[in-house]
Amino acid sequence: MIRFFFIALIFWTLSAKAQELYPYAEAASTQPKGVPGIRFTYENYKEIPSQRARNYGGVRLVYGITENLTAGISITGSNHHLKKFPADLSYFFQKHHQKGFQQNPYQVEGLIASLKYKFLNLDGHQRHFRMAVMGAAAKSFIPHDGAEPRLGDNSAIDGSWIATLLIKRFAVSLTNGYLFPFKYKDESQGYSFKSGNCRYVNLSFGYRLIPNAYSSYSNLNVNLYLEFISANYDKATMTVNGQPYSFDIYQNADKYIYNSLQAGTYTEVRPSIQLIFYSTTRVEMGVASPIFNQSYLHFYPMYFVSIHKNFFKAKK
Amino acid sequence: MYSFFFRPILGLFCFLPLVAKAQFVSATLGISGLTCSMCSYAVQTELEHLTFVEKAVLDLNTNIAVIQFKPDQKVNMQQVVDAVYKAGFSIAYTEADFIFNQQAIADQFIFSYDGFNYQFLKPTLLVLNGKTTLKFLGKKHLRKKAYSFWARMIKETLNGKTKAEVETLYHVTL
Repeated sequence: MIRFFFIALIFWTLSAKAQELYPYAEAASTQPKGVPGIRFTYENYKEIPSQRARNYGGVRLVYGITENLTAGISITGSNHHLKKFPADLSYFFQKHHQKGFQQNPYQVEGLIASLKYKFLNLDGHQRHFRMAVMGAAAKSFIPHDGAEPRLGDNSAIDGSWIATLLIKRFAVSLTNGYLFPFKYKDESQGYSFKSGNCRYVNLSFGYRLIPNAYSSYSNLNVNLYLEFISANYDKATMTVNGQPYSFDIYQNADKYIYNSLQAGTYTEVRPSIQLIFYSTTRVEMGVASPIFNQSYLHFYPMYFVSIHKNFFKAKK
Repeated sequence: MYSFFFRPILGLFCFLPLVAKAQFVSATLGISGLTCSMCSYAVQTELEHLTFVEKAVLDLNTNIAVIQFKPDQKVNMQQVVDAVYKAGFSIAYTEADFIFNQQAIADQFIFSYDGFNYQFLKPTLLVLNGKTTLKFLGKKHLRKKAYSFWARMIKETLNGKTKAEVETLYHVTL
């Protein structure tokens, strides 16, 4: 952990202009008014112990309603979940990470709508400090089976505030948010499942590697990012025919599955590299690693790639 | 008889083409808060999206935008300023080159151009001729610290003015 914070400290002191187009966290900056953007996200990791590939993808459209208000809508899909909880819950909660367990289908997981409002904007020469609030709501179509919630995996609402500071050589963004998942109900089987409420903090640093000086908009930008994601969430609860369903019986089965149903706190780090082409298109790739406990939303290492393109206005 | 009546009129017509039309020809904006080329590109495309802008060039290293206006087109400086804010950034200073024709001015003198009024505060010249750089003094036209110097003078000039008059009034200096 100390090693990672040391790396973060280096980021603070390196002599280059910083960037705040973070691959994971939302900066407090907003989309330009009237400018749409599209973002593709892909994540991959191997399930343990089965070693089966788990893939996640999302498409997000963003639009600047005003210079201070950005709307977003996303659709996500993956092979992380079954279509519904199986009738044999005991077998599911003991074995669903085993190779012999049925493969999850690829399916649409959820729809997410978000609004970000920038309420403070203090600009200076090549510096700014911005603060924003962000709200999101998600409708999920699948049964998420872990305590840690995620928008799209869960029908949920999310609220956060964001502060982003950029002073030439230094850019940092802090996000503090709350995610409240709703209860998933399968009335035909009499099941309900609720992931825990989640509090999260993200701390993101950015660093522009090249170019040192711009000569045109077509200069390739290479940016390095280091993002710390911390979350604390409550345990999952489940009922069968209205009666509480205890996960304690799985304590000695698959430890990972059992832990994923319990309350947790973790911090992971996501180093990543970003290429910006023609000042309009961002391509990012990175990896997530745990530094304090771990997230049970995914296994490690988790690799991610995203592409973001803005459609700026044409000359009249 | 011919020379008495027609020579002055003929002379006037000969003189007219030599006098440049009063108009904005270009503007220079210092943009605040910019750090990356993607952000700069957002500002530049917003500026070039304006119908009366011929060309906008934003220096990626100095963050200064130089805008050339189309000749014979009505220039709306408010739209120029708004374009920067729409992109999500703000302005450190706003300057625009205007062509004057032997215009006598004084402190608080107002001249009109295409539906907008421009009021001079503390001008350093009394007669303006040819291309002259006007520095805009509005709240959105320059950085907060610089605006605070002019704020009281601007407020005094707005006393008794209607909302419509305030919205079409710019404060400038040389």
